[in-house]
Amino acid sequence: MTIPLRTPDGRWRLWPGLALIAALAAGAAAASGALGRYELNVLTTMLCYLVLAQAWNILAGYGGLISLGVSAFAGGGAYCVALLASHTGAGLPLTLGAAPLLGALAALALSVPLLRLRGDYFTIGTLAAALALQAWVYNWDFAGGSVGLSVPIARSPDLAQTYLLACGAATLAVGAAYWTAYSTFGMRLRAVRDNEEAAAGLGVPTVRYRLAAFVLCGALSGLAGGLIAYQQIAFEPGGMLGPGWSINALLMCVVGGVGTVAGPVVGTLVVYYLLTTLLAGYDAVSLVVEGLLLVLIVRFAPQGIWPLATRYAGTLLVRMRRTA
Amino acid sequence: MNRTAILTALLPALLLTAACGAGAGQDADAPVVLGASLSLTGPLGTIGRPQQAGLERLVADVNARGGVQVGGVRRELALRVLDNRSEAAAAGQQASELILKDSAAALVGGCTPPINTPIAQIAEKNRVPLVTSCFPLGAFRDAAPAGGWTYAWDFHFEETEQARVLVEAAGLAGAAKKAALFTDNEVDGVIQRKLFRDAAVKAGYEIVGDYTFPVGQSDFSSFVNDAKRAGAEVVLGQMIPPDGIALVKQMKSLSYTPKVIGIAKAADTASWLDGLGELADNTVHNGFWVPDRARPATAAFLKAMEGRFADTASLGIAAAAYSVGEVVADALARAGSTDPEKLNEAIGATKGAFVFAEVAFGPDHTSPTPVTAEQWQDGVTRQVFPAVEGVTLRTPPLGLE
Amino acid sequence: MSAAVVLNGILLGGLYGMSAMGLSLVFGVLRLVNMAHGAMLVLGAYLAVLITAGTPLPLPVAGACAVLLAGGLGYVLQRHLLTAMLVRGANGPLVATFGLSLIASGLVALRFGSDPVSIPTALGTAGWSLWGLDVRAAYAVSFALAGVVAVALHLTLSRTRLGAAVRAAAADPRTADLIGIDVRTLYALVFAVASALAALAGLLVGVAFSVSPQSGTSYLLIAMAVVVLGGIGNVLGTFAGAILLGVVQTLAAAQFGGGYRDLVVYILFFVVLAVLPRGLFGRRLT
Repeated sequence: MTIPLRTPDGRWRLWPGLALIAALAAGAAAASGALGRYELNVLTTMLCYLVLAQAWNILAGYGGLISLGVSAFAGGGAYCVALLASHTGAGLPLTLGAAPLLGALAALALSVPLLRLRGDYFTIGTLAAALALQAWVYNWDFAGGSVGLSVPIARSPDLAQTYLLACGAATLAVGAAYWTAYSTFGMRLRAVRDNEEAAAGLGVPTVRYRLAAFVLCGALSGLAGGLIAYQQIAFEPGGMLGPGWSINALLMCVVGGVGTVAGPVVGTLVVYYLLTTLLAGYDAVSLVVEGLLLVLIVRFAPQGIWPLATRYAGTLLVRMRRTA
Repeated sequence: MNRTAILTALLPALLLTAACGAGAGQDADAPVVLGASLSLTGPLGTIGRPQQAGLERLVADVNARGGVQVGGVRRELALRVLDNRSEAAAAGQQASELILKDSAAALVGGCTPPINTPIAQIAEKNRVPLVTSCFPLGAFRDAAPAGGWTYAWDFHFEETEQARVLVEAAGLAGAAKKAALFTDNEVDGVIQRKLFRDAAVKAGYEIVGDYTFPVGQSDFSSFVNDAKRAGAEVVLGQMIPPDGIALVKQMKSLSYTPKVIGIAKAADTASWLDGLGELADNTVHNGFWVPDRARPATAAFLKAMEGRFADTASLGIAAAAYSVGEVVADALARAGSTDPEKLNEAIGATKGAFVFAEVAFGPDHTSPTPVTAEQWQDGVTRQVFPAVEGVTLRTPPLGLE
Repeated sequence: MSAAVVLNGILLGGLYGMSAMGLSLVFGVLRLVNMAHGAMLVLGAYLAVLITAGTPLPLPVAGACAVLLAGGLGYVLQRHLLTAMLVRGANGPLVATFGLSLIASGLVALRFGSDPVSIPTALGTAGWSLWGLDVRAAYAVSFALAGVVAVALHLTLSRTRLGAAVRAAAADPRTADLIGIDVRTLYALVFAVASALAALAGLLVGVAFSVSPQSGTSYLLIAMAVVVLGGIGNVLGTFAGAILLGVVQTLAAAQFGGGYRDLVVYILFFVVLAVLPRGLFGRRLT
């Protein structure tokens, strides 16, 4: 008996990949006992970045909408967690549940003005929204103003728990990206991206598909922001609501490969670990090296590292078959 | 596509394996690590570099003496510095890294409330002591978690004193009692605005202008015109150097000549002089270090640092960082252990004179250090309050005349 | 009182207009969101400081050299790096120009540290009286320069053969290429002009205020808001949008306190984008 990996019309079924992602996540979670405190912390950070990158990837890679407003959703999630935890005494499940909800609601609200915009206008619109939110929080005393907020340490999870939560969030995000890549939803979303009029002509409700991608991205970013709040404990609007999150998410996706599921994973590894951690001791030189690497990558691997790697692996496989 | 799908699903494994490195174990006689996340680049780079210099000097001095006697063993100190590029989020992340990866026995702080707060919170969370010398005490208390700090310790000036000293110095000019305030809307500015107000009102001033602005604001022209019209003869401000330079240039071009300009933070360092030239003459700012030259350790420090910095403010920052290291080394010796609980307890019991100042922590983990008012006179900065023999406050600001 | 505030806002708008002109041009013609625009502005000011310190040239000449150097740099970058990426979509140039801005600020920080630099001239501290109101000479000069540049660019784009070629390349680069327009050179030329204008704006900012390796970002953001308000690629609109932004900023600061200055600006930015995505004055270039 063969396992039916393909649908009758020849497309790959979703469940084997999703099952594999779930299995890997379970493995990663099981490894938490064997990891040192430092590894737990670094991996948590990288997993949070991975969630942000995948959320950005779903919107940009499959929806064709390049956002510079990640901070509005991630920062919104973080502020939501910190405000709930310090004012209502709500516990971990409630606060972490509220963060993606807030992200989704924010996306829903912002979709009204933003989703009317196309191309570069959408990109700049998201940036304007994020900057307006930051400027507002600077003046909003209830949310700590320029001082920012902190999550009560006593009620924040320890390193291993945070890591497990981050594993869960990353599983959700990678799963969502995988689903977007290979499901009918994703196929239609890409159709809307590539040719909106044609897609509409074929009966795809284009607005609803864009909205779905935007809300999914907002929810995942909000979740990541909530986790980041618990990991960082203290944060202020300059960093938490600044354009840095958008730039990192964009860099990770573009370096790894936009519109692929694995690309953002590779990109997160490269950008976070190589550029941020390895170069942290070298001050001004690191800025120059980081800039040079980025330019070189987009110049010589414009589709990202991952598609380049799979292409080389593919050619290699073909050659090996030929010689065999 | 199928190949990609399978390879894709395999990738999370890569993420796991790639990031795993071995954490450093600690031998009984290995160096004791002090971890610092400093702002070596970015807007606070002028503060981070002297801090690094001070800490490096301290570690070199201690190791030249053979290290610290920790319990039965003499152990050297090792300094691990990471550059947070003046970003708060990076500072918190690096504090975690210093504790978890480098097994730092203690953290030594960076500068300013936005950078120090995440570092202090991470120290609390991981139960590792932090000593900082660059976190104004009021902001330090405000940033404390419910129940107060447990692992964070701070010796620095009180903002109330800083405001009072600047107002009293301005009073020496005999100007009309009308003041205008210029404060940015970041943490230091928000705190200082209220304190300037209180101190000025207490000294009998009328506040005729109270202007706030975001950091990085460059256009002050409307504010300057307004203050000029209101007849403010004393300008008190708190802002970062680029904003301060822009402000004084605009005062000059709009021909506004108050009797005294007292600016906190922006006017401290040599960049003020470089940026403003003769316009800087007779502007007033705070001084944070009055070196006790009679102490041999202080004299030795001054000698070692000779010629390294262009201004006394940077020298003071270096001295404060040096003394942070002194406090930790002193506590290590008394604790006889690198155990964080014992070390923390020993830091709390610190009592003594160090290169920067006398340090003894109160129940709120703070130890106030003196603050003075200084004036830029002919390209050097001189203490004008409390009064020093042979130096008088000059007025009005020369370049604006 | 409010007349002075409005006049100050109008003149400040001239400086913003100068900062935004190049961004608008590149955005309109090349469809490229140039993240390195702010860095180029900062680089212009530092180049001028470097040239004045290293050579006996007087400041105006050194400034002109800095502007030309920035233009040359822009030409080379566009010709040999960015054009090839533009063909493949918007992501590449976005990341590449961000990378370039990192390189520039890193190099400036290596050479000058983090201290702010101010360009010392009499212009920076001179003041004039216009209609009985005190204004800064540096603002008035920036305003006049920005106006001249905007009109000159507008006339070049609308009345000359070169302008017609640029408009053709902006409307449809492939067809323009087919009818014999050297689109690559044209793109490089536009980017060179935009870089030179950014450097000139940097000089004016250095004279009027001060610059530090980090100031690029805030001027980039202001320039983006201006470009959106005025209509992408519309140079006269950019100038008008900049004036509007300057007035709104100063009025908001005078009315609600400086803390609300940025909030009002970004809300205006967002609302205009949402309601009138083509900007207040339309997209004229194409």
